[in-house]
Amino acid sequence: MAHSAWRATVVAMLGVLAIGGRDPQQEQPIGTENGEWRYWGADERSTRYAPLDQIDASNVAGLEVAWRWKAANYGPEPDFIYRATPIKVGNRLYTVAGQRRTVVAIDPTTGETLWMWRMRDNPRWEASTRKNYGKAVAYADVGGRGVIYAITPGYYLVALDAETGVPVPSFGLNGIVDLHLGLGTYAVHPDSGVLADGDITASSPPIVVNGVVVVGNSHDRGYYPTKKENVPGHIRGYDAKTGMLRWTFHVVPQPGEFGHETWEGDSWTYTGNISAWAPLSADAARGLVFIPTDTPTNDYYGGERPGQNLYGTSLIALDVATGRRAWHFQMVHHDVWNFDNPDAPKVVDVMVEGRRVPMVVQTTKQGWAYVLHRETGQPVWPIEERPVPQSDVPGERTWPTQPHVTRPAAFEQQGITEDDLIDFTPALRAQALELARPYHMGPLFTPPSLLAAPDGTKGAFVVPGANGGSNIPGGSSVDPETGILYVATEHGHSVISLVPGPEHESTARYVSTGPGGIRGPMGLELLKPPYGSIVAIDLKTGDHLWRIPNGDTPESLRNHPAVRGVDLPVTGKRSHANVLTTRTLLFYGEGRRGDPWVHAVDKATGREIARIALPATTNTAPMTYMHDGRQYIVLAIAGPGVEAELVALALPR
Amino acid sequence: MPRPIALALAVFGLGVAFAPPATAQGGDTTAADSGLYSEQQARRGQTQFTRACIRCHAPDAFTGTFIESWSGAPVSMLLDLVSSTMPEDRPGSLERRQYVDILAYILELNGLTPGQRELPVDQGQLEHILIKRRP
Repeated sequence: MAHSAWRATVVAMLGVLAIGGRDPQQEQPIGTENGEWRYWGADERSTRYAPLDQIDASNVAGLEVAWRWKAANYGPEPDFIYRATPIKVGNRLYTVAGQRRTVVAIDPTTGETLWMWRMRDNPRWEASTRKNYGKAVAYADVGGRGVIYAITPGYYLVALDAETGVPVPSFGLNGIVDLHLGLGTYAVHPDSGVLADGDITASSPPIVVNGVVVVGNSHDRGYYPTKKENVPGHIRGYDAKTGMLRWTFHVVPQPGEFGHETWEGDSWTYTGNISAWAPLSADAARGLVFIPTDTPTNDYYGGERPGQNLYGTSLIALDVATGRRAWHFQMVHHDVWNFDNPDAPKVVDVMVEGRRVPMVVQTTKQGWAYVLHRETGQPVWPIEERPVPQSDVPGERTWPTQPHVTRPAAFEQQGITEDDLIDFTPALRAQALELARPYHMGPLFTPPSLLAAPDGTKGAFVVPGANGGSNIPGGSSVDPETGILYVATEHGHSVISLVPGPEHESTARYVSTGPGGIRGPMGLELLKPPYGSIVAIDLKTGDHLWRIPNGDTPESLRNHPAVRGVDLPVTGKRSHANVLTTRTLLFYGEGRRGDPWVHAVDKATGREIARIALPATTNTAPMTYMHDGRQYIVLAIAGPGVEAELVALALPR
Repeated sequence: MPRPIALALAVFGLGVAFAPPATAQGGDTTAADSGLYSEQQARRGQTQFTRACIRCHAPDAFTGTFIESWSGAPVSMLLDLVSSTMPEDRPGSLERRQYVDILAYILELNGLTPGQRELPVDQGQLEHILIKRRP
C-alpha cells in the first residue's frame, strides 16, 4: 500500500501542475460554485450539495412551480419514467430526454427549449438495452469553447458546442467517437454493426477531468442472461479536444496485468459486464477519477468464472492522465448477489479525530457506506474479512470471506431471520412464515440456491434485494460543510432461485429466474417496516444521527383489509427517495413508488418542515441552481398516466 | 357494483376455495376456478411476456410461491404493481390490455383452466376478482 500512497502523491502533484490551480492539500470547494450545477452529482465530487440558501425553513412552504418542460415528445413515443438530472452552466441548463437520449439546452428562467440534438437512427440504437437511461450530460471548457459531452444509447460519444448544439467538428469524426472501436475483437452483424455475442451501452454521462473525457458503460440486465459470455466494461479516457483515445483500463485484467490471476482457467476470455453504469466522480486536484463497478456475468451464478474476479464490484481509483490504477477496493469478492456499486462515490474532506481526512464514500445496495481514504484506498474505519456461508450449487465456488464494514453501521437491514417477517396480525404472521419456509434464510452473503434443490428448498433470500439498499434513483448526498452523509435506502428482499441455463435457452450453466420473488401475504410486503428511509450519518464519527421514513404509510397498506383495525406505524414507502442537500435544507422526493410530494427537512434533526405537491412522483435525483437572483429546484417527474417532464420550483417573485 | 368473484388458483395441489373477497359488501361469491381468461388471451399474454419480460424474468418465477403470496389480494393490486413498475426500463409503456393479457398468461402458468371470456380490463371489475387458494 505504501506504493499506492507514493503513486497517489505523484499523481496529486501532476494534477496540480495540470490544472495550474487547486492544491490537493487545501480544502476542497464546498459543493457547487457560482450557483451552477456542472455535473450530474452537482460537482466533480458528486456531493449532490449546493451552498444555496435563498430557499430556507422560513419560506420553503411557499415554493411554487416556475416552469414545466415536457420531455415526452423527445422520442418515438412518450415515456412514463424520466431519469435525467440537468446540469446548469452559465445561462443554460443541459440535459437528455426520451428513448433517443436527445440532448437539449433549456432556458433556466423560463424552461424554453433553446436547442436539441439527437443521433440519426441507427441499428445500434435499436439494439440498445438502455435507451432511456441517460441520466445527464457532461460539460467542459475546451480552449475557451463550452462543450457538452453525451453518450448515446448506441454507444457513441458525442461532443456538442454548448452554445449551438452543433457537433464539434474537430472532435472525433465530425463530433462523434464510436465507442465500439478499441473494445476488443467481438463479432458483429455485418449489416447492422450490432454486437453478435454480447452488448454494451452506457446509462450515465461521461466525466471530464483535467482534459480527459472518461467513459463508463453498462450492459443488459444479468439476472436471466442467454449467455455466459459478454463484453467487459473497460474504461476509456479520450482527449476532450480531439476525441483521440488516451488510455484504456481493463476491468477484466489481461495476461500480465495486475489481478489477472483472479480469473481461473480461461474465464477472463469470455466473462463480461463489470460495467461502471453509475456516474463517475473525480478529485481533479489529485488527478484521480473514481470508477464504481458492477457484477461480472452473470449476476447470480459465478461457477463459470471461478476466482476473486477483479475488478468486479469494486471501487477503482485511476490516474486520469494515464489510466493507470492508483488503488482499488473490492466490496464483494466473486459477487453472486448482484451487489453492483450503484451510485457515484462521494468525494469529501472530513475532520476525523482532529485530522482532515480526504475521503471517498461509496454507498451500496448491501446497506453499507464504505468510507475510504481516497489517496490510498485504505478504510478510514476497519473493514474486516469475515467468513460467509458457502454455496451448494453445482460448480459454484463462492469466496470464503467477504469484507464487512465495522463503521458506519449498516444503514439497511442485512440478511433475514423469521423475526423480520410481518406480524401486523397473527394470521398474517402465520402466512408469512409459510410463504418464506421454502427459501434459505441467513445473514448477508447467504448465496443463491436452486429452484429445485435436493433438500426441497426453492431458492434463497437476498436482503437487501436487487434494488438495494441504496441505489441510483435515490442515491445519497453529502454536506461538505458538516461532513454528514444522507442516504436514501429501500427495505426489501429478493428471492433468488437458480435453474439450469440449457433448459432456458442460455449457454450459462445456471441462471436465476429473476430478481423479484415472492411478496408477503395477500400482496403485502413480506418484511416488517420501515419500507423506505433517509438516514443521516456523521462521517466525522461514523455515527448514525437520525432516520426518517420515506413519506407516509402507503395507501395500499393503510386501506388493505387484512390490517383493518391495526394500529400501523408510519412505514414509509418501498421506494428510493431522491435526495438533494442545500446549505439550509434536505429535500427529498418520494421516488416512483411514493406519493407525489417533495419534502423539505431540517438537516440536523430530520424533522419535516414542509411538503410541496407535485404533478407526479419524482423519478430521480433532483438539482438546484441560482439564476438571476432566484433559486430553483428542478425535479424529473413521471408516473402512471403522467408523461415525463421536468418541473422547476422557486419562491414567488 | 359487480359481484365479487373468488379466483381460485390450483397451486401445489391446494385446489380451490371460495371466500368473500376482502372488499366484498356481502357474503355472495361465485366459484371461479376456471374460465376467467381465454386461451387466446393467454397466447397474447405469452407473446407480450416474451417481448417485454423474459429479458429479466423466467416464467418459472411466477408459479408456486409467487402466486401463493398474492392469494387473497384482488387482481387489480397485482396489475397496479406490475403496470407501474414494469418493464423496468419503460414502466407503464404497455397498453393496459397488454398487462392484463400477461396476467392471464400467469394464471395459465399456474394451472388455471381457460374459458370463453377474457380477464377484464376494467379496474372496478378487477378489484372484485380475488387471487385465492384453499386455506
